[in-house]
Amino acid sequence: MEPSSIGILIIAILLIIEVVVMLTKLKVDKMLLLMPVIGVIFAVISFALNEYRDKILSSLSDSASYAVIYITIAVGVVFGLFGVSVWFKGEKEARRLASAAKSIDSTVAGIESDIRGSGMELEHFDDEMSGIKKKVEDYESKEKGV
Amino acid sequence: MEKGEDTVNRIVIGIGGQGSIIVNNILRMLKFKTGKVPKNEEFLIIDTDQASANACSEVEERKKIILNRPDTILMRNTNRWLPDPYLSAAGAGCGQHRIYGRAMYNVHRERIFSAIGSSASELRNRTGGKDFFILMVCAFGGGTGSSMLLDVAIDIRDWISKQFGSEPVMFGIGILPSSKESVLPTGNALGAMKELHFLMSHTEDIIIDDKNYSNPFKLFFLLGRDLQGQNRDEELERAIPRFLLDLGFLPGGTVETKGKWLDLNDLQNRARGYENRFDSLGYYECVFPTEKLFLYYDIEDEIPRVRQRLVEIEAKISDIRGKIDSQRGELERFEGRIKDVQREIDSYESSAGMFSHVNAALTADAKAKLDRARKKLSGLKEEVYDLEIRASDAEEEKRLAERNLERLEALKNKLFREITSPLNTRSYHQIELSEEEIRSLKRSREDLKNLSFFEIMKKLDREEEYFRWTHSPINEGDIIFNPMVNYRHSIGNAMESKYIDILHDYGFLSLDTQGNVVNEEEKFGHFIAVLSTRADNFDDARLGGGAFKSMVTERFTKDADVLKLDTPARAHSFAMYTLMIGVQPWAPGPGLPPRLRELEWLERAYNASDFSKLPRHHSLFYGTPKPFSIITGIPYIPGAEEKNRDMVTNYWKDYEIIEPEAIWNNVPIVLAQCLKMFDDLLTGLDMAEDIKNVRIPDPDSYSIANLTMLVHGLENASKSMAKVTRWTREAERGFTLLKNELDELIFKLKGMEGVPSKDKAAKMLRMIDDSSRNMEILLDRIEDLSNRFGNDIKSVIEKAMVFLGRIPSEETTSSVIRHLTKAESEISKLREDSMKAAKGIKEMGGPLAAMLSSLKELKKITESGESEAEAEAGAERKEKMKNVELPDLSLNIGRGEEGE
Repeated sequence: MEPSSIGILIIAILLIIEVVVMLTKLKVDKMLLLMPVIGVIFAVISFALNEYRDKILSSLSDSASYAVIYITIAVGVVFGLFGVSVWFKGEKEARRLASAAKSIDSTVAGIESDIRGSGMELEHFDDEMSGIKKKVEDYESKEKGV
Repeated sequence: MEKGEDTVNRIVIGIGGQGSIIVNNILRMLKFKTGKVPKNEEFLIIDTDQASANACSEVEERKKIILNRPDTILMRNTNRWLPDPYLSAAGAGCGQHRIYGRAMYNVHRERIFSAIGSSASELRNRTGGKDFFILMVCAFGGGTGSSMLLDVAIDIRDWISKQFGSEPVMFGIGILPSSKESVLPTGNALGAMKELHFLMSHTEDIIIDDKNYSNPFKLFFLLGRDLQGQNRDEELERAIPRFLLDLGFLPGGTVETKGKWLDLNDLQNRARGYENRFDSLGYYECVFPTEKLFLYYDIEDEIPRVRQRLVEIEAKISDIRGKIDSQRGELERFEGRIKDVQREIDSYESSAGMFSHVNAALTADAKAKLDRARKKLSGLKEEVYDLEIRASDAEEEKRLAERNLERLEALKNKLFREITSPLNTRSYHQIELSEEEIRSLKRSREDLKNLSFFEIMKKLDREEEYFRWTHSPINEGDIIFNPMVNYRHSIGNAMESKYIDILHDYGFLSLDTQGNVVNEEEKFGHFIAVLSTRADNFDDARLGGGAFKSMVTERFTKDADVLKLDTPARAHSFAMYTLMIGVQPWAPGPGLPPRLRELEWLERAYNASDFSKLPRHHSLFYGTPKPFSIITGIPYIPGAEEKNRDMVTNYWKDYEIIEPEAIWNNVPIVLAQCLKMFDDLLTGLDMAEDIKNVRIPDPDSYSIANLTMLVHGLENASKSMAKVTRWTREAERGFTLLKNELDELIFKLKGMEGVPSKDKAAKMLRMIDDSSRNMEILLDRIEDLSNRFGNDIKSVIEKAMVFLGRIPSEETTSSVIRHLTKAESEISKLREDSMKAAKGIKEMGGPLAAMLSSLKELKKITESGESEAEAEAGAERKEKMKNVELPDLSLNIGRGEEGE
């Protein structure tokens, strides 16, 4: 096997891995999964053209046949990369939105605790002031007793 | 029961509005002192006024016996004797009608007894003791207390005696109305006093229909609301609870073994023999205002703390308000932010397909967070709103607290005023402190707690003042004049000195070295002064207890005691509680004011009611004519309700609050009046005789000087004649009055059993003989004078006319004519008045002769029962008395003003 076939095969395997990861781990939309799948197809086509160049592309010159093979693998790679970049962009947006929601949630929780704190403080003042009132009443009743 | 614990069951019953208030005060003070009500004490109130009973907040609801007014049908059916006008009452409670109160008692009797009975049984079960002490308190002026007191007392004594086998010891406290109260309460008080005195006079058991009508009270204390002309309600309300609690009538659970001075048995022993007389209490207290001072210091320290805290709170509230504003802005901002993020998530989610990627898990999480934040936000918006209201409330509270601070400030100022310029009365003296002393004592406030009253005063360099306010009342004897009623201790303060001299001359009273009247008859039974303070506050040498006892027993009381109670009621006080046992409220003699001054206005008000209105002032024996009849001996008609009621009213109308034995004491006083009157008559007759001695100049030696002398002589004679005419009129009135007094006295003495002591009777006989002899002399002189008075005056007038008729015509200048006119006018007046005077002198003979016969009758009564030998002894003494010169007396027996 030619070294170029090995390279194409590695690219094809990487693209397959991408498909598998996207399918299993990243759980991307099926439409988006078509991209790396198409990339794999182009890689496989490129691999087949490279392996059976003599038979399939015999009508072409060497340089033309290599151009076809490399263009095919390049298209496959572009599809694969495009798929990744679309996922990455979507993921980034999702994370941004999640972080915004989280930040809102935690800020609101902070306000809530502030409000509760103020409430408790007011309650404490109420107690203190009724304590003052009680104290005054105590003094008044003591004054009656002396 | 623990060892040393008091097992005497004590029931305090307040009847009517004021009685209930006093019971409420006792309870309040007891709870303040001990924190609880001892298990051997029960406090009950009986009232017919719901509002008044509700005001007694210290008394348990189940211990309040509130009697509602029954309808007129029930009232009529229960009380057939009740007159129609009294079937209902105006105003609150019994409408101050005692007769209505009696009818109410009959309607509610069972209820009252089940309540009192269940309290007594509860006590019996709690303590296991079978001895009962019952204290009853009421005002005599109202309708409820004064009408139910005696019936409740009689019935409860019977009930407890039968139920538990031992007779309860009962004490009563009656509050007399002030002189400023209206006729109705004032008259009620005399009605109640008459009935109480009637019962008190019967000390032996009188069992009628299984009910004992003898005196239920061992001691009955009379207290006045109007002392020395001032309303003393506040003192009274303070003094009664203190007296009862501090002296151990209501000991608050345990009997003090150390310093125990006077228990119920001891007190009963001291009161023995005086159960038929009234008693009174006195109270004096000198205090160092430690408690006020400590309170003042506490408040003084507290105020800056509170003020500082309020400033801090104000700053914090304003901070919270600022926060609230910013939080509201934040919340609004975040509300918009949530909407934006939501929108972004929505648009992110909507971008699906080959060229987009949506992380559903993250968006779901973000959405959930947003949702939670949204919910929280809406809750927080409400909370912020609520917080704003609460902040406003807190500001309002703070303003209130500021007002409370002002109150505290006012309280501090009030205390300062009370400490620096206390309102001291006759019975309460608080040591006055200067601002500087207040400041200096603050530095050693902790030491004050341990120092005695005396040591504190010494520290302030005010020892002399201490002794003046604490020891001098005993040393100088002032405490005897401090009872809580208006009582005249001695006849010497009420009677003119000339009468005292007559009585002294005849040996009815003696004078001590200072000239004070000493009269055994009018001394009250027992005087007890209990001095309550810390033992180291006493200085026996300066107290002079022995000298006080000697002075008091010599002049005012048969027996006296000064007891030191070494368990003080309060930290820095010197209290003097006095008990006057066996006081004599009645007047010492006719024409003299009663010893109990309250009787003056009570009698005035009572006498203002005519017979038809008198029943409103009475209660006892209405509807129960049988016991009344058995006790008094006045027959009744069974079934004749109205007649029997009128019979009872009539009896009360004529009833006098006086001991029969005391009536004999009136005899010397009436006789002293007779002797004084005779002496006045002699002076008057001498004056009448003098008129004829006008100097008439010789008609033959006319001169303007003689004419002037004649005119002056006639003027003087005319003035004297006018005096004699006036005097004859007054003398006649005086004689009629004296004759009435004498006849009334004879009437009372005739109905009495027993005679005065031999010695006393002999003295009286000597007085009667002297009076009779003087009267005979007077009658002779009157007859002589009345025969010649007209002629004597006629002769004077004739001589004057002769002088005037011989004035030479050439001498009749304008001045002489003026003199002539004046002389003629005086002669005309003299002629006219002389006829009146002669008639007056002649008419005096009538009442004098009548008095002479009354005196003879009095002599007979006095002599009856006396042996011949005694009569002889009397005659012997009479011989000795012949040389006694009768004093010159004024007409009034009593002094205009008195001062003790």
